[in-house]
Amino acid sequence: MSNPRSFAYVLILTAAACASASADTLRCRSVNGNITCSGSGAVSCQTVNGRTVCVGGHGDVVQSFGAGAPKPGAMQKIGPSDLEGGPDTPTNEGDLDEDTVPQSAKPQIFIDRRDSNGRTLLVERNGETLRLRTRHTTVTIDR
Amino acid sequence: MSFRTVIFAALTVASALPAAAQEVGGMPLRGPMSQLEQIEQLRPGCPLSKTSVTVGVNKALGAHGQAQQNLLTANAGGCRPLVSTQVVAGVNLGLGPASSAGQNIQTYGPRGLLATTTYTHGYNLAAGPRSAAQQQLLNQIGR
Repeated sequence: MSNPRSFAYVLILTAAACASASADTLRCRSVNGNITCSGSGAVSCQTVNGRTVCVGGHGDVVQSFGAGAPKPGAMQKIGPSDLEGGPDTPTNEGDLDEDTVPQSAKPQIFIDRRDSNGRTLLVERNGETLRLRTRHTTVTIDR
Repeated sequence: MSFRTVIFAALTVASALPAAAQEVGGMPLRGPMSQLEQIEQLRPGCPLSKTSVTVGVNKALGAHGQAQQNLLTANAGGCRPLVSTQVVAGVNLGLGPASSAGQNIQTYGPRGLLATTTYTHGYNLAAGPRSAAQQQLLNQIGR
């Protein structure tokens, strides 16, 4: 190439094109406008006012922990190990005033697991009702 | 009636209009007595309005880098304003390969005697390969 500057431009454009072509997948989840994203092989967990959402970069695991009874001063610890099936502890609400949070009296759990083949396992507890759901089966238990 | 007199009359009416609007405007009262009682609960020396804004940006850029951010905003004194506003916003980025980014933002504030507004927003991203991002946002209102 005769012009060195043109050659540099071509190199930069080629590199940019290669970089965008090899970009990894970024998986994101938005709950009430709060966004958490994971790239390939990465893990991200986000807890906003007691509601936790974890996203695995491979898309194989997604967990959501619903809000439970408020515990002032107590923070829920969520880490990558929770993706393997950590305890579903109730979490604290953003509002400490029990008078305005009637739902907090009900223990609530919401776990949504999906593997790369599209198989799902849903575990949901709302007060005295426990619901297990897979692709073919739904079990509801009322105490 | 001269042209000058008409202009003078129009200006007089226009200047009188805002005063009339103030007399009929203001906050619509539902149950005026109860709201007046709430206003009267404002202790001497306490502010009419209290606003708290807590914003954090945390990022782990390098390979195997670790970044941890903890922010706490707490209301001191026990004053309850008429209007309370609390904003919590966090950005947590784990961008480097095998990096780890952790962000914890907690806010405790008073409930307003008349009105309370909270706004919580988070963006959590683990983009690097084998990276982890953990974000906890807690926006709490006292009694």
